[in-house]
Amino acid sequence: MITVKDITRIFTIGDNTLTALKKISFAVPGGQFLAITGMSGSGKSTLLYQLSLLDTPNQGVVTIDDIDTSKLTNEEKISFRLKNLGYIFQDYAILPMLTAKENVMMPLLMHGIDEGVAQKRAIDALMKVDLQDRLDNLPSQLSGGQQQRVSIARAIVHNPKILFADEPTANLDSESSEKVLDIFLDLHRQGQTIIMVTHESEYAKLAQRNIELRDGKIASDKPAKLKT
Amino acid sequence: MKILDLFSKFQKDIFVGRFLAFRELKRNNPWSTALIIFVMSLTFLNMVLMGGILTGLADGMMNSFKTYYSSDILIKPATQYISISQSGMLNSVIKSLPSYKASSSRYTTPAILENENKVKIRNTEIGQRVSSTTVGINPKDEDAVTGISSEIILGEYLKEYDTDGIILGKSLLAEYSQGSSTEPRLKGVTIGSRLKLIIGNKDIDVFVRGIVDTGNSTVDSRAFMLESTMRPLVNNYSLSASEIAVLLNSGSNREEAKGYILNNFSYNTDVIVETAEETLPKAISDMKKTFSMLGNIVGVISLIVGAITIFIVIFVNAITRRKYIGIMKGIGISARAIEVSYVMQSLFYALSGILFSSLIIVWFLAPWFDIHPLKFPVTEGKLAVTTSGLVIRGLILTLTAFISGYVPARMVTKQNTLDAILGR
Repeated sequence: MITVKDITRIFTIGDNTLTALKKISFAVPGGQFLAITGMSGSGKSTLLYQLSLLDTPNQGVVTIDDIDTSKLTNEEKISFRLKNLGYIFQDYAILPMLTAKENVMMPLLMHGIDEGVAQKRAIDALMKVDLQDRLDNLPSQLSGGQQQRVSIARAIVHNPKILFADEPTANLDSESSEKVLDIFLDLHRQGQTIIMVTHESEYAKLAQRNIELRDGKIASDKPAKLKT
Repeated sequence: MKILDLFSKFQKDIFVGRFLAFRELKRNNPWSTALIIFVMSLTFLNMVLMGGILTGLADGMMNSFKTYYSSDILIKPATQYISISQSGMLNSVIKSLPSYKASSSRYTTPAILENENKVKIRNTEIGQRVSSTTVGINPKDEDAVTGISSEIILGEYLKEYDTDGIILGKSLLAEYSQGSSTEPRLKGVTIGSRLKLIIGNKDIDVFVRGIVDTGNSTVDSRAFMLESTMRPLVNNYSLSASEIAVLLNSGSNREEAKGYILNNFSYNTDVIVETAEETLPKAISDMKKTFSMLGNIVGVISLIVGAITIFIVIFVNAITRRKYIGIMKGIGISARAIEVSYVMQSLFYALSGILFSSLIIVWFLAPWFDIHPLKFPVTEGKLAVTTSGLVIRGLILTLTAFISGYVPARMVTKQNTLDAILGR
């Protein structure tokens, strides 16, 4: 369960200030698939950064499973992310010097899991995203869609409580995008909490709930029309 | 409990850091890796080589002085005397030393060597001449103390019955050494040449048996002959030696031996007893200090260059991978694990460089300098490299690499995670 209470994020650029989020509050129960939508510059990515503890709001509190995350130090936030959160970046963000399998192993190794076990679990995760034949390929040898699926495998391999996805289909063709969304729906069916930022309303409709942001405020918060 | 948690976290950081570092090194451009290792090798070579050569020169001077001249203990007459009048008694004391190995009594005198074979236009013209300190020795005793016979570069060493033979230091001969125009050398003198030895108003004909090259300027400008031939020339019939060199068993304490001689020789005020270190001319000990200092300065400069090299390599690597460092932190990899990976990479570069250059030093450079020592006017310089010296310098470079790898990695990992990911 994520509870967001009155969070405000202000950026200072030189003498100017920009309020990206204005006193936003909402809650996400466990197992929900939430899509955050909005126009470019509406603050949806900024909101995701606050929820995933990659950024700290100027005001307000993000509580995850009754833990007030504003009280965590930077090191504790990194550790918290490792234990509880999975994150899928818009531009895949897989490490170029590691193979697909090694990229997926990273969170497990940081958990202190034995290398052999981590390798096995990474292979399982990559099989879930249909990349069993690309285990030892470097990112440079993978297409954009394949890289994004590696990123998904890395985000889910340690069974995080919440999966965050920042425009996961933005750089993909429609076929790859659909594959990614199928994976999300599959994970959701297994009870995974997913919070996805997207500007594509068609994909947002696949989620259970849709929060639309406009100028840093919630413009609407309603259940999405779930496609089957 | 907290300590156990910290230890477990530390273990994970090390493990993940090692995992990342190994993959990074494995997939780096091999030429870049080779180049960095090469630079580290040169840094270490510079640290060891320059200091080693300078120290080798100083050691060469000291060792040749000790080996071929003073030995462990050198006894000379007190300044008011020209010889040691109680040499017999003194030799008995010396031979009773617990650490005694050998001793040699020397009889020295200034002399002129004249090459009469030089072409003279008129009979009244003098031949080619050179002044030298001529030393009367017992060949067996002298060789036992200094091993001088092994430094004969031409001809042979003196034999005990060779009453008209003479050994010349190479510095007396024009063919073996070059001096200034004010320092005459004998020309055209070789084995078998007849020379006239003039001491005061007496002279005898001597024949050159050998030429000695010890690398020590004092010894190499001397001439050696049998003491039994020489003493009558200086009217020394009492066996009063001009100097006595004493060789001790290896590892013996020279100060203790000196104390023993002074305590047991009744006429100790008539002699000056000096250890090898005390015998050294001040110029040589000053030179050693200066060379050591120069070696250290060069070593420190090399170290700074090496540290900057590693710093730049790691910093550029970390800066260009800033986004990925942010991503790693984003997916939960601790900053410490990332720092460990960069430190391990810099340690890999440094240790590979140290290993590579150590092998070059031990297998190639040191043996090469042993065979081809650097020729200097006062001595020969070899490469003075000890295992402990290599280890200490290696540890210093490793520590420097550790710091130079850690600092830039820390600078990048402590940046805001989101700023790093977004490249802000």
